[in-house]
Amino acid sequence: MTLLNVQNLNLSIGKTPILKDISFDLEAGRILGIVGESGSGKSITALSVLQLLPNGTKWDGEIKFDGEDIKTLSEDDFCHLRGNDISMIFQEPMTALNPVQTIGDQVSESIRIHTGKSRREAEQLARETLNRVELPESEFPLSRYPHDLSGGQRQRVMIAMAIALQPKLLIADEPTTALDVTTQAEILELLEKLVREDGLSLMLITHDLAVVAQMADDVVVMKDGEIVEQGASIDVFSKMQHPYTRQLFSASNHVPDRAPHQQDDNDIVLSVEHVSCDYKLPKTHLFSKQRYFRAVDNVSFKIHRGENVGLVGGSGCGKSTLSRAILALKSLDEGHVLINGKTFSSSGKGPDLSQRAATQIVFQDPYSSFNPRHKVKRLITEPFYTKTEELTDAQIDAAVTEALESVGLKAEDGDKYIHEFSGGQRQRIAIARALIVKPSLIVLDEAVSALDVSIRAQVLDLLAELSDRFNLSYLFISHDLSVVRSITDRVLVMERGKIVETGSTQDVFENPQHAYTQSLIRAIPKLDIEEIRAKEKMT
Amino acid sequence: MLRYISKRLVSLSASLIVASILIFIVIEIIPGDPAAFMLGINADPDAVEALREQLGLNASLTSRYFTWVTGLLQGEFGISYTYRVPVSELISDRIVISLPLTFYALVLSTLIAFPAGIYAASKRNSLGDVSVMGLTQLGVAIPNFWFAMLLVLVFSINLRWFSAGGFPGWDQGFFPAMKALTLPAIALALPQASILARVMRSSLLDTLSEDYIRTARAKGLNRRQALWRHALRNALIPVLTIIGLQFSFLLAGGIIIENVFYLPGLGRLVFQGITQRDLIVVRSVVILLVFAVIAVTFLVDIAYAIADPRLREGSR
Repeated sequence: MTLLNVQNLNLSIGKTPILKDISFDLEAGRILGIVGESGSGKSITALSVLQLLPNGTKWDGEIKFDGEDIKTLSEDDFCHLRGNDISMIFQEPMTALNPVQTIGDQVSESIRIHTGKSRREAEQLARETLNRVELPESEFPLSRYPHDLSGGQRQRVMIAMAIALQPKLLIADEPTTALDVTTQAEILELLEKLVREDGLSLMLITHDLAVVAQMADDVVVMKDGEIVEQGASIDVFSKMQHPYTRQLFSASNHVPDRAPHQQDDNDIVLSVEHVSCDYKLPKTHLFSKQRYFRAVDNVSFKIHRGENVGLVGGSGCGKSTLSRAILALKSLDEGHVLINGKTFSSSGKGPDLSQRAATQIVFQDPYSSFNPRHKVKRLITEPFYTKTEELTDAQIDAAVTEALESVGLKAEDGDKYIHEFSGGQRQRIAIARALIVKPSLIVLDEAVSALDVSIRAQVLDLLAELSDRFNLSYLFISHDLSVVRSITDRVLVMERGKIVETGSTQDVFENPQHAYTQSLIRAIPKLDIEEIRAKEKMT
Repeated sequence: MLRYISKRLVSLSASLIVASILIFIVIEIIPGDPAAFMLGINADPDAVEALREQLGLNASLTSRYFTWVTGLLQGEFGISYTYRVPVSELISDRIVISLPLTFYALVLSTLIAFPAGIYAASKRNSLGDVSVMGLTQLGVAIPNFWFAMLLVLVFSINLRWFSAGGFPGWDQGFFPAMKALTLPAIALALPQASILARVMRSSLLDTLSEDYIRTARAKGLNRRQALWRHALRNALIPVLTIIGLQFSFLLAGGIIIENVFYLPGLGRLVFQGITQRDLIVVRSVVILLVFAVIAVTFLVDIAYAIADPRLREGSR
């Protein structure tokens, strides 16, 4: 039976057309994956089913839910439908829950407004639902607030809110994008289990082809507000009729070409020696002893010139603190950091500022890591302040041109403002900003995580090329293990502040030794065409 | 929560001590000898010296500071140089007017601002929103003494509902006293209400675009329910901050309004104290105001913690 039927949906916000002629069906009890890159219209498609559209939206076409045309429903009817028959899970578990209400109040609220149950009955049901999403009462009483739950736990609360009334349709909009890989695997497994147990339909929206390939029965591929391909997921992934689907697929599995490089054991760019970093914990009472949390615990490793090293681990494992310590943005509590053989920073002492230019960083978010009031030229010449020698205007212009051209942009782009560039171009500018002082090491902190797969593939190619050309070393920090695998020579696995495993990338991924590494690698969603074809033959 | 309160208390007592030292030092370095001022320009130097001795002005700085502070703790503020009466008496006469006036104005301002701000936010960009915002713009722009004169013109001179100024005293009964404070309270409250309504509106609009409001709507709440159940409490934090600031402003900043309505309030007392070099009065009123501001800050801090559970555990 068809639960949701969308026919010729056209939608525009103001005068901008967003969706063009969207038609698809979702059968009861099945999982429909909607994939596409950002701006493809997947989220708006979901929101139009719930009619939670932004102001100024106009749409035509037909959306039928459970045989009923939603155009005939009033806003009151819709309020009854939302949360009761159709529920939705959003991407950002950190902000999607009300920070000033307990999880019990938030889960029981939808029960109370839809069923008219008493507070006690609603709380009873909320408790049972939280148990179902594996948040047991002993650790997660109803009185807890969202701020003392982790991202994965908050996402479980969101799921509990959504399934409490056993809706017919569950819409999950990028439910695991903000989570690390092991938590992602757990949440997806939970969703699949609930869908199968309750016989509900799931609309799973994601940019991650591998997630869809693993879970969905049917798949819709969207690009620029249009559906380019749809069908049973086995058919779509094994045949891949449309070039865009093929392009997405190859970009997801993209491995940049890199020249094999000779490693000189005496040419060490970065040497981290017994580094530890602590954070102060809040005091239990006024005169209690100050306690510390050791975020980085006695970490030592080296990076050779031209070598790309990956640093992986779940959220909260200490990778960001370690990267900040290497860049001397956080003071060390123990140990030393040496750059090109000279001490850059050590515990109890400030960094040696004359070496500041030797390490640069590229951040995750290309939208918020630039000052929007400055032109690109000013933005990328900022690292020159770390240099002591004065440069002439001509030298600066030459450096700007070289940096922009080496990341595939033009010299004229220096006179533009940052809002004139797309996300991928901005990340190129961020790389140019790091390159301009000719550093020995660039720390890439989730530098491609916010980019769409096809853009990500281009940026990875660029990084590989720059590393080869300038003999640059990278410390590549990411929660996305498939990216780390594609670009690094060696990988460090971090858990609770310690490096638990290190080795060549190939060895670690193919033959992980430590239990934590094994669990990380098991959790990576796989996009393996051979496996999909084998599955097809079996069915 | 207890830990949070005790932490706040400690930091507030510390600021009180620092403030008392600062006030003492600043008043000390201001030029002008109270004894010479009291005796006039042609006074005999010996007489001035004798008066200085009598007023305790010749003791060392630290001993004078501690005498002052221990006096404060016992409720003794010293004797006014010019009025020759205990400062505590002067202050208590004035505070029974200034404090109720402040609370009256604050309650009025909140009662006007909350509904106006909530209405404007919930009807964003409608005619109602634009009119409310236009009115608040006017309220912020027009000085309160002009409002005060307008109120006197309309309600005292034309309609004869209220007297144009003066204060009958609380012994004449609660309602006559409150009646005398009504026009000044309105004049004080209107600009404050305009500011508060604008803060309420923008804070609420920020909150309404948060992800958890979308979550609430996806759960099946209608717009109204989402606003009242989820947005309002989250929007309160900046509003509470402004209310706390307004209290301290109103307590001492009402001097112009006090003058317009001939109210013998604290603002006028400080003003007279300054012009007459009655430093002991100035010092005492200022420390009292500091105490009031710190006490209100403490109450606002507690209100924060009630509104936002994250603060209770000191995690933010």
